[in-house]
Amino acid sequence: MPTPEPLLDIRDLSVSFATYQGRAMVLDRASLSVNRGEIMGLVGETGCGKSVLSRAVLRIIASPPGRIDGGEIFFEGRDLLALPKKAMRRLRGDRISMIFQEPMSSLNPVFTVGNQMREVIRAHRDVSRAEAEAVCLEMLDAVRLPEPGAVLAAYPHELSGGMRQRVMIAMELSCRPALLLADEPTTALDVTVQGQILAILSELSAREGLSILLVTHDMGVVAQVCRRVAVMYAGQVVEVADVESLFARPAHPYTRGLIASIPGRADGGELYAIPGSVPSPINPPPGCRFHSRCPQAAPDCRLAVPEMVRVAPDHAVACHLCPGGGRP
Amino acid sequence: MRILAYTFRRLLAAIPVLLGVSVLAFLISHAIPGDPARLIVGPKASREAVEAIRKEHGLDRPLPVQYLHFLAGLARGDLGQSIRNHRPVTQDLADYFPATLELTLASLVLCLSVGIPLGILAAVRRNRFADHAARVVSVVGVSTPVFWLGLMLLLLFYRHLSWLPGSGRLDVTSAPPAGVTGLYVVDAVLAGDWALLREALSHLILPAFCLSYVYLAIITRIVRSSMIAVLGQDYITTAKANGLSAGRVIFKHAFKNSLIPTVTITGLSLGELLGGAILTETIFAWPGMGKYVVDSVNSLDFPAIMGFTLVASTAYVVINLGVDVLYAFLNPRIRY
Amino acid sequence: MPPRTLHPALRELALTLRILSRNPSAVMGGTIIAVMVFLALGAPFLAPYDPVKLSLPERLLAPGAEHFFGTDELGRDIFSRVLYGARISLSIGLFVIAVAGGIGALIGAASGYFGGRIDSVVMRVMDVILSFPSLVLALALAAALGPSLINAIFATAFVMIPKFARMVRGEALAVREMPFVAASRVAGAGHAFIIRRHILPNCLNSAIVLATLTLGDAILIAASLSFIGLGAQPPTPEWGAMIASGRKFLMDQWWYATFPGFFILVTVIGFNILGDALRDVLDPRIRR
Repeated sequence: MPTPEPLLDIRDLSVSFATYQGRAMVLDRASLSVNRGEIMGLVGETGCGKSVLSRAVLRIIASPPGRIDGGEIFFEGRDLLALPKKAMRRLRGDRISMIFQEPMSSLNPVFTVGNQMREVIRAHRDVSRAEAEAVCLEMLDAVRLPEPGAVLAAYPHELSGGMRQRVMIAMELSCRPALLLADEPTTALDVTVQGQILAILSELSAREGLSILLVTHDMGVVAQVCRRVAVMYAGQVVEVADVESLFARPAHPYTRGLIASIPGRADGGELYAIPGSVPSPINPPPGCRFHSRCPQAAPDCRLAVPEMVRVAPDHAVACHLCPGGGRP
Repeated sequence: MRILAYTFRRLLAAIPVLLGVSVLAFLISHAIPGDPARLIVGPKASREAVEAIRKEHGLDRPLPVQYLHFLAGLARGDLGQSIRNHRPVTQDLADYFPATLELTLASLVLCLSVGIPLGILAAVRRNRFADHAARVVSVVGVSTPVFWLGLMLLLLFYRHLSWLPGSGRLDVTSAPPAGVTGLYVVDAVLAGDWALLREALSHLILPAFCLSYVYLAIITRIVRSSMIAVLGQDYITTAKANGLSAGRVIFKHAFKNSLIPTVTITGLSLGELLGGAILTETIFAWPGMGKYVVDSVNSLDFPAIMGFTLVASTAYVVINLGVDVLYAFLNPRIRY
Repeated sequence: MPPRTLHPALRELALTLRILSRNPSAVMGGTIIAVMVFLALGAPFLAPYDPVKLSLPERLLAPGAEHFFGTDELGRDIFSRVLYGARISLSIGLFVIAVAGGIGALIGAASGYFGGRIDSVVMRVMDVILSFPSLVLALALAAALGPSLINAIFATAFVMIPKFARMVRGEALAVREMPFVAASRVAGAGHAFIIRRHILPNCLNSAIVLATLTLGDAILIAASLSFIGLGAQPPTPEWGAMIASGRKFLMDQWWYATFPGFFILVTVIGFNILGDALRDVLDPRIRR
């Protein structure tokens, strides 16, 4: 059965930022794809470039310090990086939406929730205020917020963090986008609220056929809701697999380290931590970025950046040492 | 509704401040070294007159009693009598008030209508040159003596270029418009007298610019720095990510938030504008309360000076009250 | 690096001076002030003429080789008067800051340290003072006290007290919660000692910044008072008073009012630029 074309197909994306010490290569030929109707996880530690990747899709990276150096981002068949600005703007909030980590500060404090939600709808659809209001109420209901009318009339600071994040989800989905980019949506929330938000996202994805790129550093979140997951390290995607396969047979040494560091998974007492630290993006080491911290590093690893290689039906990894390593 | 409750509370809070103002004003005129009676009648009055005043104003009574007497007078609107022209000070101030109001309003309009757009422009088009230029303009603006600036403006625009008149609100030969407001510009518009309007405006420009110079620099800088701070906020990223146009992002989402510090500074600046008006009106022979008080200083007309002080500070307190309410209007988080 | 053998406070000073010397604003502001101080101190040597000596045949001469800034209506050399004016204005500034800073610091320290009702009352009083536009209040005070330079200095200082009081109060509130203050109390230290030893030194950085920035304002207010006639009295060559006199002759003798005012502008710019730079460098949150 031929696989349908992915909804989002990022190919060899490179992004750099100007800093005082030089140009930092935050994303270095990163590639991944998201299929229709699936929740795809994107994991990595702080600074690996996962947030930058999601922002690059929407092309909202601040342009003086940031710069997209190369690559293509195909969405529904079109290269977003080649689109004129106006066309891109029309897509934002309409076909592709994004929710952020900090619900506290992601909503404008001086306007009511209703004002902000209606604004997004009316920016993309030619509807009256009443019609927009109806859509808002429907969406607030979908995210299971009680008293939607009161929520619409409230100011953001009058709502709790969990409620605000639900409002954000409602707002971003009000135009029924095909893809939702979720940048660590639960990191700033209490554990109990986290579960609720993730449940809402799962439900909406299943019901509406919504694709979600869920950026997180928490493997537990990945295990909970994602169908597939990509692992990033130092600006590169090092492994992509379906969730089962990743947890059962992690191929990349970094992924293995990540899984081993989950508290509770270790066999006895001590928590495992990957030794060493992430290399500086300003002068990336030649060869595999992980080789300086890799317990299995071979001399070859220092010479060339490994290519992504398929090791199982839905499992690819970029590592010189993996089965079939280096050879297609 | 919350705003009304908030306004009411601020009003209540203003009352002790106003009382405090009256106390300080009272202390200045009655408790400083020297003879308060003499301050009331002036240096040239005879000894008998001084004694009479002392009795009449109860200046031989204990201080708290005098204060109550003073407060009672204030409640009646009685600010004493001017030494120079023997008219009630309240009357004098009422006569000169419209001119000062016109000058201050014109300056405020100038400050805001030039300062805010400039500040926004500088924030949106950030580059090193703009940053430096903004800083330089701001420092020079704040450091300039208002009275000297006025004289330099007169030298340039009146003496050398002859573009603008040098004094007064109208040419010596013109009669003021039949007016309701006392603001010549407004009255001229209402009367449809365009020639007079041009004349009034030409007289108004230099003093208004002079007065607004300092605060223009301050406001531009505040708008710029608060816009820059606001544009870096997460909710702006959200707005952009939602596909809203640049205009909407800047003028709806960013602007309202950046107004918050701007409004605060505007309130403070207004107070200083009142002080600056004293000097500006003197330089440009603008017949307002500022010129009145300077003339009073020259003739040591103390009741007039104190009357002005009370009116100016009361106006300042009321203005700040208005600013507080406006602030609550803009920022829903502080309506409690 | 400054040698380790120096007293820690001096080392701190040396380090600060080094950082400042790299900051262009600080250097510019500092240079302007240094020049003004030099002119002020050197006035007796640098001034070609006696600032108060009349010379009616030479009245109202335009600037030239003999009189760089021209002469006034009594034939006095304006350049010399401007130089002596620097002495007066800088002294005024220093006096005002000393008085306002001294009184304000004491009030603020006591208010913050003792807290409670004392604090409420004192801050209310400060608010009342701040409810008057600065020049308006200074004018009223100076008028009540009588027209003289000393009275103008006190009037200006009075208006500036609340700023210092607030700043020191803030520090006092922060410091009094700290463990070493409690330790001092346990060891038997009196209130005055604690204020002197612990609270005031912590304010030093903020005080320096505030003093520098306020110096400029003080000079402006004092000059304004003199311009109105409430400060320096003739024949004192104070810059504001000179502008007042020069105003009468503005149209035909532009130099009279222009030069003194220009010097006010430059001096105040110097203090403001230096103050801004000091704030950037000394702000305890940004430092280190």
